[in-house]
Amino acid sequence: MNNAFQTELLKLRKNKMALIGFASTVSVPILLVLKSVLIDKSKIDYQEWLQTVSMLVNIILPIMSGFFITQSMQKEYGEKTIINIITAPVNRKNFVLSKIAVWLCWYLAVMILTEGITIVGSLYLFRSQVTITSVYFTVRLLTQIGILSFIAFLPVIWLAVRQRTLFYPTMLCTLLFVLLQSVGSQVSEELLPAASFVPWLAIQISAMLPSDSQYLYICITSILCSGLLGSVLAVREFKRQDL
Amino acid sequence: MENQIILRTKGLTKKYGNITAVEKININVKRGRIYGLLGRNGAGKTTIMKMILGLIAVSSGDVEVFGEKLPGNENQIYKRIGSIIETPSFYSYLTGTENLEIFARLRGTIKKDAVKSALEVTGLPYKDKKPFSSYSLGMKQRLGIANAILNDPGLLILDEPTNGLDPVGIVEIRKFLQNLCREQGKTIIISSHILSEIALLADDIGIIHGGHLVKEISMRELEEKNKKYIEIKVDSVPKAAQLLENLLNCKNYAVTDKNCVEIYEDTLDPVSVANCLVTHGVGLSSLHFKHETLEDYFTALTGGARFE
Repeated sequence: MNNAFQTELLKLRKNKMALIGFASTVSVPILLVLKSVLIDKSKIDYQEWLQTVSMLVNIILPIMSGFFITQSMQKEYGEKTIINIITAPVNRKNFVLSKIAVWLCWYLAVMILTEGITIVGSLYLFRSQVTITSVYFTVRLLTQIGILSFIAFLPVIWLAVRQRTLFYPTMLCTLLFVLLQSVGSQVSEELLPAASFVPWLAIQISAMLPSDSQYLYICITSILCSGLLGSVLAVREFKRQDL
Repeated sequence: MENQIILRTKGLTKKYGNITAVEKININVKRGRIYGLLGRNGAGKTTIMKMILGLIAVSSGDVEVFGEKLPGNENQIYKRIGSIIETPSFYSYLTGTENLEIFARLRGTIKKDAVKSALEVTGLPYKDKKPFSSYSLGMKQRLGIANAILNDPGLLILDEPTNGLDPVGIVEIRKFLQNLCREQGKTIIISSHILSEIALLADDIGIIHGGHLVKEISMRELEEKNKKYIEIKVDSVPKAAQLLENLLNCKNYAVTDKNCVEIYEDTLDPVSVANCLVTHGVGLSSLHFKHETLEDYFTALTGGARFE
């Protein structure tokens, strides 16, 4: 497992998709800071600015993340390097898990850097309004949504394994998940019980609920189930696959 | 030691739904020898290799490598096998060295200079800047072989390793594989649809046709088994036939063309045949001592058209 993971990190060094995804996501808060400085000047509100950053990052990051894992799996099938990997030999389960591990590392790196830039940007733009509490709130919100989003999107890797050399089915699925995630923040109170069971809707819902809400537990459970199911299905699919 | 079976399959079968790709394959590969899997395109050679390497699931039958059964001992067995299946496959955006470093790390327990020496023996540069995507087909094949020998395996499974190589490259790879086998005692299974390549390289052959192993034989046995004959080209076949029967007491011959006769009588020597014909006024344009080739044998066994 350790060898497979280190190998995945080596491959990452020259992976253009990883770099593009990284740059695209990180550029969101940078561009919003520049926009505020150059265009909006002093007409903006701190909370409004944070919401905009959060909304855009929560759209761009999962999309780029979907691109990243799809391309990572699709390239192994397309270039048939998977044959060399399996005959190395690498345990099939370890191969899928190492892909997930590297995907998570990349995701966390992008997320942490994006959060850092957001905090620095907010300090620069709203020095008088930013407090320790507001920084904590921002970091907690972005981290919570980011991590839950990663877990809820794990079924993407199952699709990526299943579709082998194809690219579009996984990408369409990612876009659908992102759409659901965005809609999550618009769910009305009447629909809350049902929406909590849908992992991708539950990501945003969980960020709005108080910590003692029963729906929060349903949201977290449905997201964890999605992640677990996605990982198990991906391993199972890959183990059964003729290469 | 040389007769020790290093790889054995028993009733190896692969089915895709109702379609049987290969059926009841029993092959026996001896230690320190080159085993040629010979068959037309689509005969099932790659499927057999993939089943041995665990790339595709076995529908039924057994595989035993180094005396241990598969599946169950994959980690121990596959570490001792190097392989190329279909085309050599590497990361297009990485250099040859970077690619080998990745696969070396995956294998975990290989020597520090293994990448460098594998590249050297296959004639590829170490630490060059050229990405794999810019490699010629010959270089790609060499890198595939370098990857296969990276962990100093006891058994090499090579699926058409000379595909796409130029004639010089083919000779080089052939010599390299022969050296690996003769000097380092490696066992090699090589598949090919090119008869001449297998004839020059293999010690034993398995002929695959339509998903079945139609014959497993050593090249030595094959040479002994194949018919040897004298082929003469004359200006008058009837006169030559008359002389063969009456003066040389030869009944075992065949007229294969209007000017060509094949003599299968193994007691006759070519000089006496030539003397007899020439002294009795038969114009002899050529005389060859011939034996059936692997191609003839293959064609006879598979019953198909001449081999591609």
